[in-house]
Amino acid sequence: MRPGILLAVAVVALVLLPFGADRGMLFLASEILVVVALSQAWNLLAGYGGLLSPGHHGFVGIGGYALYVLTRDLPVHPYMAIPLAGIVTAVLGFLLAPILFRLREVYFAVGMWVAAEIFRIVVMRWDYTGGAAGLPLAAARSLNREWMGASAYWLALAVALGATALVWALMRSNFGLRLRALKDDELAARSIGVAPHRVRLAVFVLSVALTGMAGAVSFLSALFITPVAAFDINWMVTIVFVTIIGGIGRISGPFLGAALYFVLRETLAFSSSWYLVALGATAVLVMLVMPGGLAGALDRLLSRKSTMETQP
Amino acid sequence: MLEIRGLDAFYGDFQALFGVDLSLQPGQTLALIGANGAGKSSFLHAICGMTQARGSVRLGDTDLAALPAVGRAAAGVALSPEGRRMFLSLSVRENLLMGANVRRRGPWTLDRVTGLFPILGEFADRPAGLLSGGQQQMVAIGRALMANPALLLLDEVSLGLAPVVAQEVHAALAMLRDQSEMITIMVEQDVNRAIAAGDRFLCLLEGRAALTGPCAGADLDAIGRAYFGEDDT
Repeated sequence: MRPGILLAVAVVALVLLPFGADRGMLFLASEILVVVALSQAWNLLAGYGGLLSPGHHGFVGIGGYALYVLTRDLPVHPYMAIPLAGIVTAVLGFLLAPILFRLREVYFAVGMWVAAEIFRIVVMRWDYTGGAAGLPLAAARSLNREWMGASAYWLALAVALGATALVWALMRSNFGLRLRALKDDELAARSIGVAPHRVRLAVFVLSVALTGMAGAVSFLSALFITPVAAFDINWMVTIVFVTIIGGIGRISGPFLGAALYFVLRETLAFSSSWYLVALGATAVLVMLVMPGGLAGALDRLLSRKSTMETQP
Repeated sequence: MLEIRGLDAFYGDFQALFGVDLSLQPGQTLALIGANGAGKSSFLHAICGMTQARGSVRLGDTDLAALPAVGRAAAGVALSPEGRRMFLSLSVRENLLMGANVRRRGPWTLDRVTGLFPILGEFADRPAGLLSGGQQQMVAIGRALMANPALLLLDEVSLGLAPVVAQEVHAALAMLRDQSEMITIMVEQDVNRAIAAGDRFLCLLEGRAALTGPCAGADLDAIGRAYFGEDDT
């Protein structure tokens, strides 16, 4: 039971963090958790589902905008609007899936990217969403200033842990088995009655819903949203870097990848060009030396250690 | 019973099967033979809905032709595909359990499959990718059986297996044959072994039925001619 206790202690420590951290540290921690949540959502779709989407930043933006528009037009508290933002992105994903799923492999990837571009252009041109100038958080008054940093952090923590728990539970369910079977061998899966579209639709909708919620949380404390920030391609770059470096298709991947990503970013913050060089070099190096990412390397290390311990 | 009338199969514009007929009673095994590219796999794929097809396919009271692949699996069609097609990230047990995905009632359980292939019980927790070719073939057959099929399609039962392993697989299949109402269609490269394992045989040649008949007392010379497409002169 030792790993279980360790996990519980870690979760409690994370929950209590706002009582011991200053404002800057809390903000950074929230940012890390949002990236973990986004990467876990992308990992579910790409790592377990085999659908590589380079258009998830579109759903980050939709989630963020859903929060701002919902709290402007409806009497909902911003915190309650976070799950609603997830529902909005889920519905959008559900409606788009029949079109996107007509495309396979690399064509699907192009389709996802195009979808994200269309979201950005529509939001930028539409008065309802504030156009290129963006929107302020109309419901900012209802937020307690003193606790806002902590609340944003707890929401980010909830989404990150929720996404991880969901992936964990799914991969132990019948659904997870079907998903993995489909990714391993589609013909064999279909021959035993796995409906590829139904399984992929479910995992796609879940993934974009989590992405939308994480996007909403991310823009909550900014108090302002613009199309340029919401639909920034850098979301996608970060998500892919974190997931692949951390270990795609592994539940611990997003955590390890996010840790490395933020260490690099914070230590190289003095120079934006060196930061990008270091990021690229790390990506190449990890892919060459550790094909399973950090999580894969860690697994190998632990299993080697445990076999050494069990030997007389 | 299985009743197939005028079955055509297509890959895009390419036609792989031309009006094949077949009728099998419950419990019967068909040995499907023919050279490479004759349309054996296409025939199986057309029955289970994996490729575009035209024609009538009825299993009992069910019109299979009207159903998508998933519906046919639920109606009792199970395929053990060519190349075995393991789910490589899953264990042997998980591979077998995936077969029960359609939740049909019947005699086949994990215990019965591991009773038929004891080695699979021993290796239940191993990743399926680490098994030998013969063991993977057993997983593929076991996975199809877990669906409790009314119609079992076995593609390339012994392709790439050592003779002694192929014999082992066929011995297990012979046990199945004697004790069930299941209809089986088996594709087997070795014509002699195929004829020995079946009740009826169907020889395909360039997508057409070249010769069919009962396996008992089959004329191997006639089959040879049908197989290679030589005229009966």
